[in-house]
Amino acid sequence: MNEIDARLKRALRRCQPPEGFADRVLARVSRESALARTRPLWPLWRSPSLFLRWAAVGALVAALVTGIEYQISESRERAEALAAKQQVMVALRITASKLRVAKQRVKSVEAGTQKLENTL
Amino acid sequence: MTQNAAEFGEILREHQAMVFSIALRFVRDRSVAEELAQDVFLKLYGELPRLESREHVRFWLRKVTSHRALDYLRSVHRRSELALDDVPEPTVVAAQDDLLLEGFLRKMVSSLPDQSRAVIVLRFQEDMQPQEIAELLGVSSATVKSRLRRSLALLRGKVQRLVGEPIR
Repeated sequence: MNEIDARLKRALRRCQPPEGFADRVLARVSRESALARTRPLWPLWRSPSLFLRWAAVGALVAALVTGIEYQISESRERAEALAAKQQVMVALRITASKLRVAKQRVKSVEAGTQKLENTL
Repeated sequence: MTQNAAEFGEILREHQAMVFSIALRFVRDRSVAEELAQDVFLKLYGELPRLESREHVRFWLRKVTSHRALDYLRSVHRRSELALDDVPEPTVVAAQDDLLLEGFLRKMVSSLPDQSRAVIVLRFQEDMQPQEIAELLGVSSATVKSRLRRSLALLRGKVQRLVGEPIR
């Protein structure tokens, strides 16, 4: 160790804190601990900006969930409507073909009657 | 009294001089240093269950005290510090007049820029190695060594002029 190092070590010896320092720290610790025990778990009014931030996050999440739910129900309704439309179309096709058959039969009966009348 | 509180009291008495001295030499104001040291111990109380050993506690105390003191200095923008060259030198100081010389050295150290003073205090008051100081302050080991070298050269020059003979 050189001379300047030794001199600095001597000059920078630790010094004692003011009288009663430890007692003051202990008093602050017990005061803070007592405060912490009585303090509610979520002291919103102590940190309004934090509360607002969480409220904004909550609103955003709620809006997101509502939007997704709306999308899901919309697409479900659209699928149900499509299925109903297809059923109606099938029913109409069946009805149309039945009507065609009935019409052909009526026509053939009419033709038979005409022929009979002519022979008579 | 809980076991935690009893252990805390023991640590407080063991390290109060260390924490107060670091704070004092960094901020150069006794009342601010006491306030800062109290805050550090208050934080330690909450942190104690997470600190694994006495060595860990000592490192934590040095680190938190140093950072808080440097934060304080940054926040007050204390630019009124004297440049090292502006520190008046006593007119007549005998080399063996150690008390006077020590006082002069302390004054010179307190006039160093914040970061250099931090390095000098941790090196010579706390007897820490450059690598440990670097880890504690969150800078590179090379930075610490260069700050030490520069500050020591300045201090050596001043002391040399004061005692009137070369100093190693």
